[in-house]
Amino acid sequence: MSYYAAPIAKLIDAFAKLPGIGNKTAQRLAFYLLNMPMKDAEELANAITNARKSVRYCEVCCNITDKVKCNICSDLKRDDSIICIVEDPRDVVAMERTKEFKGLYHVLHGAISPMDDIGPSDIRIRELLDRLKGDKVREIILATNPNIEGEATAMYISRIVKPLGVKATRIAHGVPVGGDLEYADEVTLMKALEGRREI
Amino acid sequence: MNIEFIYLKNFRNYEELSIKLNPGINIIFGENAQGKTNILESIYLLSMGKSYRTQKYNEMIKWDKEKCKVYIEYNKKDIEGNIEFFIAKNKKKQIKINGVNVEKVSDILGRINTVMFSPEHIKIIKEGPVERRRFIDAILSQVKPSYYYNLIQYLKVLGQRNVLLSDEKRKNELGKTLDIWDNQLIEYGSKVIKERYIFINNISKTASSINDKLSGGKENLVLKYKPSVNIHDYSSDNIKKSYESIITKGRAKDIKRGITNWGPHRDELIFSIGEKELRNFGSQGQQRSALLSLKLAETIFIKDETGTTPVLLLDDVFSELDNARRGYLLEYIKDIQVILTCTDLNNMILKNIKNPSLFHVKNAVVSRVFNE
Repeated sequence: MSYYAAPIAKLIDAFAKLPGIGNKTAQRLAFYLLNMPMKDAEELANAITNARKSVRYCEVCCNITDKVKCNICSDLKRDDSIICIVEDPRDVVAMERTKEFKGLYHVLHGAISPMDDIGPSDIRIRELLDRLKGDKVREIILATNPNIEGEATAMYISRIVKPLGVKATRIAHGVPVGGDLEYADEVTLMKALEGRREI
Repeated sequence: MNIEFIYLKNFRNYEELSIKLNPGINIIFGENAQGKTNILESIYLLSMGKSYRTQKYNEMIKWDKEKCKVYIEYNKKDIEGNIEFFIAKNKKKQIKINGVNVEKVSDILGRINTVMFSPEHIKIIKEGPVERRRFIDAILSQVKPSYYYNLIQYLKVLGQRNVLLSDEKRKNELGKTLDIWDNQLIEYGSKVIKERYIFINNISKTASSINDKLSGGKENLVLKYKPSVNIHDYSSDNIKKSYESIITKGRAKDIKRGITNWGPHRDELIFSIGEKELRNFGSQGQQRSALLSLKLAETIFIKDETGTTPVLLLDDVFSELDNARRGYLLEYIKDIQVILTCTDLNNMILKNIKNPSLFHVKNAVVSRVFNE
């Protein structure tokens, strides 16, 4: 039984559904909102509905955007012969922060994982293959996560694009730059040793 | 290495306990169900990151409490260290190493090196292969972080592959989707096989020579690794090749049964005396000797790998050994730190151990006893 009036209880429940928010935080947020100026509260409500309504998937790269074609895909200065494949829209942001990568992206929205009932047809691989049909794309960079599901997904994609004559590369893993070796964990160091190269 | 100090708060039946241990032999005695083994369990927890008695961390919290804490100070190669382990009901476990929070439970592996020996361990020899794989994995995980990583990755891939194999609605995709898991299965599995092979070869030699002494040279103990993948030459390349070939050849069988039939999860370790397999044909005495030899060999292995002698935890072991084996064990543990539990202090133990620290446990209260 709730001790709060129904509208407040409903608001608390809604907050509690968000990741990383428990019951107490949900209560705190709800009460903060109730004490906000009406205008701010309305703006927040509008921001939520607007974001939810206007956001869609880019028809080219499947990233989330508010346009038919996202900003990156419609940027003519970008190199359309190279595509970086990632699992999640947040990975695009991470790659963009490097300011080094000038190609295009493709967002899979997940990785192959039988345990979670996700097969190749449940992520955006078909859309990727459509993009590779022309002969514009020379290389794809597989930047899926360095865990077993990410590796499996990378391997799956590299196998199906091979007959298309597109070069597939996998990002390297190893020690973080700028850190001291002594603070790297054993597994990261082990992977770095395995992937060592001649200089 | 040695453990210097243990502090327990709301752990099992202890409300609060602090004990200082001596670097030699520590004897914890008292009647059954007073809390002797709980002390060993707390040490094991900080050594291996889990209990050997339960999978559920919550069970280690005192029954009427919400959280518990184990804190241990140790000295390893003249360097002091400490580990704190907090368990709270329905919360994430919290671990501090030298006062600093660490992320993963596995971060504590390899810090407090221990060898646990209790009469229950006879199941390593008597029961199914699961027990023997658990024995191998526990030791290698403690001394080689890379082994632990490869094993966990292997088990994850295996889990994914088995779900895929048993999923009826994805049967028609299998031709394409099995490959991507096979590749990683072979990669990680081969590394696990190689480490196990090296380990068993190594420990077999030591255990065999200890068993020789125990039996007066009459019984030749042999440990043999029998991987489910048939392997002739244990070079990394060849293990991979052999594994790959059986995965390819056995694919139809895997698909038919809906499960992976080959790999480290099906490995076996055979104990035998001469031609006779110990599990089915050994006498009780032979099995106990073999276990004692195995545990002492484990101690030597950990010492060789880490450069430090592990702490030996003996849970009520003396009651099950005959005089000759007790004598050998006592002789053997002279130079290392031992924490042992027993129900009564018999003369045999007191006469043979110099200056032990004695702790009497009664109803979760531990009192130091001074021997006249």
